[in-house]
Amino acid sequence: MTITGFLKKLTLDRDYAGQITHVETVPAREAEFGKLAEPMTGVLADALAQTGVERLYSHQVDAIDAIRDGRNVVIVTGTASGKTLCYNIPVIERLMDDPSAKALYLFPTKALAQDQLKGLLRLSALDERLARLIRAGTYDGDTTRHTRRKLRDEGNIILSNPDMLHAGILPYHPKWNRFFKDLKYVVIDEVHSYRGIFGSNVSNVIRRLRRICAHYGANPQFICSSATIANPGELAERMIGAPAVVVDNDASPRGKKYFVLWNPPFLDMAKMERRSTNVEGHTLMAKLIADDFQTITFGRARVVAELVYRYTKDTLRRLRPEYADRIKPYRGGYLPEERREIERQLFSGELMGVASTNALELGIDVGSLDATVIIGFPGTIASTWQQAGRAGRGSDDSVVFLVAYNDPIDQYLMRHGDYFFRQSPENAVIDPANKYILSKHLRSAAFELPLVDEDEELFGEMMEPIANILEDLGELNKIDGRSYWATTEMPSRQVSLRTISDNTYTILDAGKENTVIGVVDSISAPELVYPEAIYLHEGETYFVRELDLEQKIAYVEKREVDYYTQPVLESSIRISEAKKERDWNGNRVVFGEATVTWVTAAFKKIKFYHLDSIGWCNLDLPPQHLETGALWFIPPKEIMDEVRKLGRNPVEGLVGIRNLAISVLSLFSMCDRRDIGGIVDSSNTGLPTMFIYDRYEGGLGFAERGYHMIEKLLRGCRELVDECGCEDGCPSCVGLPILRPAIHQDPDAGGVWPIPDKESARLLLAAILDR
Amino acid sequence: MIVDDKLRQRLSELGFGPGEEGNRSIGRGPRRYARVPLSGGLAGATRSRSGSIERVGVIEKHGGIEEPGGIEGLGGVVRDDGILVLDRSVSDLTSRQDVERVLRELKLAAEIAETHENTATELNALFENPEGALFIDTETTGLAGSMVFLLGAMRIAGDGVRLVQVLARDYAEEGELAALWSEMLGRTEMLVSFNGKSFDVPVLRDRMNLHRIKSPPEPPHLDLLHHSRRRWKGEFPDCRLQTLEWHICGRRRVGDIPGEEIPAVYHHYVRTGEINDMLSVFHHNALDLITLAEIAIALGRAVRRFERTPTAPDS
Repeated sequence: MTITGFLKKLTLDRDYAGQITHVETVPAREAEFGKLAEPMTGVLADALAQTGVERLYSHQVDAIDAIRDGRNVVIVTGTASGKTLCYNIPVIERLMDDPSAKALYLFPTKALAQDQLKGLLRLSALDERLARLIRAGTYDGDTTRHTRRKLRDEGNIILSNPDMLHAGILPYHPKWNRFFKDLKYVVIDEVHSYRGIFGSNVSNVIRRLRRICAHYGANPQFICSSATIANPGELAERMIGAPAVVVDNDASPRGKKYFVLWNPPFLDMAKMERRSTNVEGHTLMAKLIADDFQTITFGRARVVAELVYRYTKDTLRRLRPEYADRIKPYRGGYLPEERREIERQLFSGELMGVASTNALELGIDVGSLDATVIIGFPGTIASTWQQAGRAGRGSDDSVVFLVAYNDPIDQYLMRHGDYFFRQSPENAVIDPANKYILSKHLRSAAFELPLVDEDEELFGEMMEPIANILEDLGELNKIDGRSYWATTEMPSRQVSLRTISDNTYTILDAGKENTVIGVVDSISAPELVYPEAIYLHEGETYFVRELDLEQKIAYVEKREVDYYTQPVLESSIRISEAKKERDWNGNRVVFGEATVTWVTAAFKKIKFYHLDSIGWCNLDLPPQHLETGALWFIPPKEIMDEVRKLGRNPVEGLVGIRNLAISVLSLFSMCDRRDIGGIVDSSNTGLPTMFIYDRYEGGLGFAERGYHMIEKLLRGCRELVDECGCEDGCPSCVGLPILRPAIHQDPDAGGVWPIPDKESARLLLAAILDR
Repeated sequence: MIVDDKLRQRLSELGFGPGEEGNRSIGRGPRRYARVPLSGGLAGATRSRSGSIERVGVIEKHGGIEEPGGIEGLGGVVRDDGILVLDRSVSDLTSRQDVERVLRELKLAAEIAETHENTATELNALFENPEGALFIDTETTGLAGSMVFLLGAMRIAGDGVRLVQVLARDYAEEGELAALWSEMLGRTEMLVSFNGKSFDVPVLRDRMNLHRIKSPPEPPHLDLLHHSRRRWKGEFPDCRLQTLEWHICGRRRVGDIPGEEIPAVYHHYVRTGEINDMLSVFHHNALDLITLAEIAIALGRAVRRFERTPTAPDS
């Protein structure tokens, strides 16, 4: 069956209820080839020819020419466009010319590094001379001691990740002196994944790397690759702290792609509830697979991947029984060997489908598939295209479904069919000079080598004041103009580059002699494996018998139940300190520090296939705390009274605005909605106050941005609420209760908070904006 | 963590960096570091008005070290490149009888080595030429990646045992220490250590790399930890140096500084110049070296199936 035939069949199905709101056809493209300024070394050209690469696409040619010219380069082309060759070719050429040369490849995950190593070894295996030349290996937390030493001493292409560079390589740089002395290339793959706080951290690790290289007399060239974002050049330059050339003329061939926006139908006349997004999504996945389209489904949470897998397997038993066992779920928290096996099976075609989280969004080579089903807008245009890029084999047609949740952004995308396709992908923002992040890296840098004035060229003008503070606190000691690390701490060990700590809980199957079946980070563990939770693993239901907070272990056992569980979170906020404050149109707007406290207070049992809660249990777990930057907004009493005089509840209106503001600010700030939290509370200031805060320890400037652009933010809220066609507020405008969306909540199963009154929010916004 | 809270507090007072308005007026804090931190009677040192000690003049190139003066009886000189070198007879540190016994036994062992066949080669090398061996033990500011601030090196020379302890009086002097080590290493026929194959030697190599000092080829290295494990595994609770010291040398340390406290003592010393706690570090380091020699003897005895129990002539 063809893709168009499949789409036609879908709409003719008697279940079809007009879910398709838009179909965008992304046209096919012919390949364009180019010619290198200087031909490639014969050995390499021969080896590549054996892999079927006879000619290079013109973007590959541009990249290689620029790299050979000694320039820093960022390559921005699509999935399967041959990005890897853009750096492997010049790196290998260099090794042939200069046997002492070294290269460091950085990948955002260990899995990607292993995947790329395989590719590199496949290439080198084609020619004995290459095999002798290339001494490559992955250097990460899984590398044995013996291999580590061998790689340090003999390796010439080291594949690692920023976390390892930060905590496992740079602090021990004297052991790497020979490697750093001859380091010619640093490859930063998937550079777009280093944004926000993670990216700001990584950019500082890169600065530390450059400093160490300089100490040993090297000045490596940087080669970045990136998925499509709005500002790849800017991101790369901020990442490496040096100019870079952008190569983005993707000349690889691609087939026609049908991009379908799919909105689950309403269940009731009042147009409040829609059919479950997971159920709709799984139906699409099952139908695609039943018609022999290899399909990948992306969900926003682990529970989504598990549910969609379970439902699809069930449905396939009816539609196409022989395929029911040829699908798998894939997500973080599975053991690495399980994940490698699934990747392999997907690549080989043994699997017809995989229900995944964004864990498969990054470039692991699982081959190209026929179809992608995206359950819920992933939060960024860039991510959506990246996930969509998994579909499309060569010049064959492919299809992508974006299945909407009943929430403001998803519904906005459904209502404005062409909005998504006209929208440029987001900017990837990093802030290497973020003083909190910088201070942590200056400590690590000082441990590695004393800080000197010239380091300001790398770390910027914030270095000196921060170093002075560290000196005052006794962490640095300045001797003859050099600031030395002066305590017994190992500073890099105290910093995790990622916001999710890798300090993990282990999930043990108590029914199977406590075998490890998964892991979860400690921050979100109380939301996933709380006592009596149903933990979904490969679609199976496991009952959580005990959560041992001290040992960080969850004991689970298999239990057949017909429900899953959804955590119910409670949170509160306390102002720590106001930092900036202004009066805007009579409203008080403040930016400062606040402490957010949250706890998994209870959970709901939700029947499979339904969104109905069939039970509620309270929990007694210790709360967690987040100290962060927050914006608070206090409308004057007269405005609140004005709304009250019109017969509406102004506090409810403020709650509605809070929900809107989180959505709008996340668009302005290029972050997921879950990066921003919000609470309406009057216990802090004595007046109803809207708090918007960064969901990162110490803050990342989201709320601060909101403070500076408060008017634009509120106008955006009004636009969103005015455009919504609902009567009295719906989950698509004022209603989405994102108090602190849990990482492990099923977005489909909604919240427990009533939908605030839409008119109150509109009147309040009018009173604030039109004064 | 308290430091983190303080740091966050101080950072919050800063501006937001380029392009942001903020309070940038925070100046440099007072310099807390006193360049020459030793206080107390360092021989040859000139005392400045403030009571701290100025750097002393050239003594001689190492090898020719001025006779011990006395930091609280330890003695020591500051070389022209700044590092402090303590050179003294081991008998200053432990009872004269102990030293004499160590020496006697080493020499005795050497004599027997010539006639005995069934020996471990590395140990044998030591007993064949005890005067060519350098016993080493370093003190560092922590685990891998941290600096070496004290290098203890002991040699059998003539009728005595000479111990040289080299101190980097602050972080900036580590390069000199590493350079001195490089020279020592070049002149040494054999190293003897306890866990030095895994720790002291690689750490010193790292520090030479860091200071871009060429590492000379490393001489044969007798690491007694490995030999001790082979010989005494299961006999004692563990094979840590101090356990062996108790079971083999019959000595127990009283008032010795625990190893894990040493890094903090050094940082404190660099910051304040207070030498008192550092004296315990010197002492600790010296005792480790004495014990090292005694363990070598005990091992030699064991390997050779020593029949005779050596007894001191005066007992």
